[in-house]
Amino acid sequence: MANTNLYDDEFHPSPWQATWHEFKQSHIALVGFSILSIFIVIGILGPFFSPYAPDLQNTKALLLPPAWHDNGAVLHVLGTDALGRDMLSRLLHGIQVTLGSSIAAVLFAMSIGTTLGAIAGMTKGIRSSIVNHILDTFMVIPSLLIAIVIVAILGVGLSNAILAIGLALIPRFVHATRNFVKDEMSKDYIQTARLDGASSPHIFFNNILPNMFEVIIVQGTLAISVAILDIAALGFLNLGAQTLLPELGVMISEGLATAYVAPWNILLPGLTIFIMVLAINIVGDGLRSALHNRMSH
Amino acid sequence: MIGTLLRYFNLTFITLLILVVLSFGLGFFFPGDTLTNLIGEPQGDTTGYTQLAQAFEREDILAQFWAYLQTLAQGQWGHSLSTGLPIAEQISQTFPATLELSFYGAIVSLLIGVPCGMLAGFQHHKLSDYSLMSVSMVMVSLPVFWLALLLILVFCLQLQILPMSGRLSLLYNIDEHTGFVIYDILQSDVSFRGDALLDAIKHLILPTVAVSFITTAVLLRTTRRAVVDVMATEYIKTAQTRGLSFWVIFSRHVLRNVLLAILPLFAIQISTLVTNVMIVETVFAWPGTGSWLIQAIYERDYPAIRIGMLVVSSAVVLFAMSIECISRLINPSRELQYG
Repeated sequence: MANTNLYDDEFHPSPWQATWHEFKQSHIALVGFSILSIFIVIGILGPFFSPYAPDLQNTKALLLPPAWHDNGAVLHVLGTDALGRDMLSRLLHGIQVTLGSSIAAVLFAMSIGTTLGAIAGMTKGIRSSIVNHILDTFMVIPSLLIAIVIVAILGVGLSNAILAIGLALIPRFVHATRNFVKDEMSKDYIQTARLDGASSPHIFFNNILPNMFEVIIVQGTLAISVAILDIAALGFLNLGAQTLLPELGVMISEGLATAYVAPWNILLPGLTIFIMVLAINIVGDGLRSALHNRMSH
Repeated sequence: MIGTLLRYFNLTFITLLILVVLSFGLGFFFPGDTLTNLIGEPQGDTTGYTQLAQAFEREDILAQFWAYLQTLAQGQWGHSLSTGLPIAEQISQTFPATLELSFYGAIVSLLIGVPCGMLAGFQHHKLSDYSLMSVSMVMVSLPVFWLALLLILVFCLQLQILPMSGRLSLLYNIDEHTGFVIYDILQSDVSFRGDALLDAIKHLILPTVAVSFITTAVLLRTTRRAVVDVMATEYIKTAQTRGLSFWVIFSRHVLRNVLLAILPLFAIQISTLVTNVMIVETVFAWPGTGSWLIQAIYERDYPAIRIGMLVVSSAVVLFAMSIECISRLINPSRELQYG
């Protein structure tokens, strides 16, 4: 087909393209983005790459150091733990468990939080005030306390930990959505839509929601890093995922017993969490400043 | 002024009431008998709970809640399921330790985070700004329990220069009056006071570092943002045009406005700080409410979990609300946050 845009000498990028263009300007953000992509690929495909099953015990090689160590062996590149399980395989599976459950918790919090925030932002008066009060109460309860209460009611387990962290993350989405919707509601284009006779749901879905996606995505990215830290902390405290599951926090707490003779058993899982969270934070930060720059241009 | 005070008093009261209702509700949600979850298993003396028990026989939920409020007000907080001891006593023993650790953590992060943030803000988009921001990014991303373990591995096991757990070496016998270890040592009149103080400070270093890491980084970022925002305002430009020196502008205009901007954000950080304190307490075997609460969940000690949640979250609410209220009193023009 012939190019009909011959006279469009000016290229107008879509909002997403513009954001990506701004995002690309920062090299650190790009590096973080590539590391995060690697982690996501590992999270999806990790179990296929892993040389051993995560719970396969090699009783002839207990507490084997990593391969670069004098006593290490190439058979187990990152060494083995106290039960002779291959560290690399456990890490590959652990990334899937930890990252996957954090994303699940964030999606849960995001869907409930944005809905509540939109309601709180669009309503006025006593109803809005009640919602805000209750939410602010939940906002000040430390996330670990919420998790402890949930675990006390429902019992330990990864799914309960996801639920608990999800609940603890809801207020931040509510706050972000509420403030954004409140700001947007006072703008002219919403007033115009209102004068045209649009109903509140119509305004929300057709006018506010498309503009809100980016704010939500930035919040979501930063929330994933919080969720990873919290889920690993719950696993470490034995309140989240249980021993059989190769979750990174659980692996650290298991490595604790042999921390003195085999420090790599707590160093490697912790390092994995750290790099993962760092990459997510860098991407979230880059995304936020990219949006900021795009808006200010 | 009085309006603001009343408003915040009201807000705090409602929030605390919601928390009490929640803790009452937990008695129903926890597995097992509701009355047992609320009062535990007192050994012998049950006089404080007769009204609550009677209310439960009548199955009148409002009377039950009223009786529950009365037991709370009388300090009859129930008895632990695992030890049979009164929970109020255990809280009063452990809570000062938690308060102490959180206080030092907050002080250290304020003392390091705010000046570094100011430096980064004044050097906006320069090398020191970028390096401080990178460092703070790394600090935010560290899992706090892993950091605590690393500190133990390096400073206690490898270098052997700092103690690993607890608040004070068992060699020093200091009578507990207030529960705050440093204050107790200073108040006591034993011959080894100096040594005991040194030992207590050594015990404090690692937990405080672990606790303050994340808060420091967050404060650094907020301070930097506030400085950059203030420096871009018209009144700073006016002052600069008038030829005022940097220090005059800094002390008269920048410092005050920046501190005003970070005060309410610090209030939000308290709940993160408390979560970190609870984790760090567990790792360092610090005898505070956090590690006590986590022990309670391992033992499924429901009355203890209920009261622990109520006490810790009430303390967080009180602190956060007072900081909010103070910042509102100093600066009434700030946009209303609670609509």
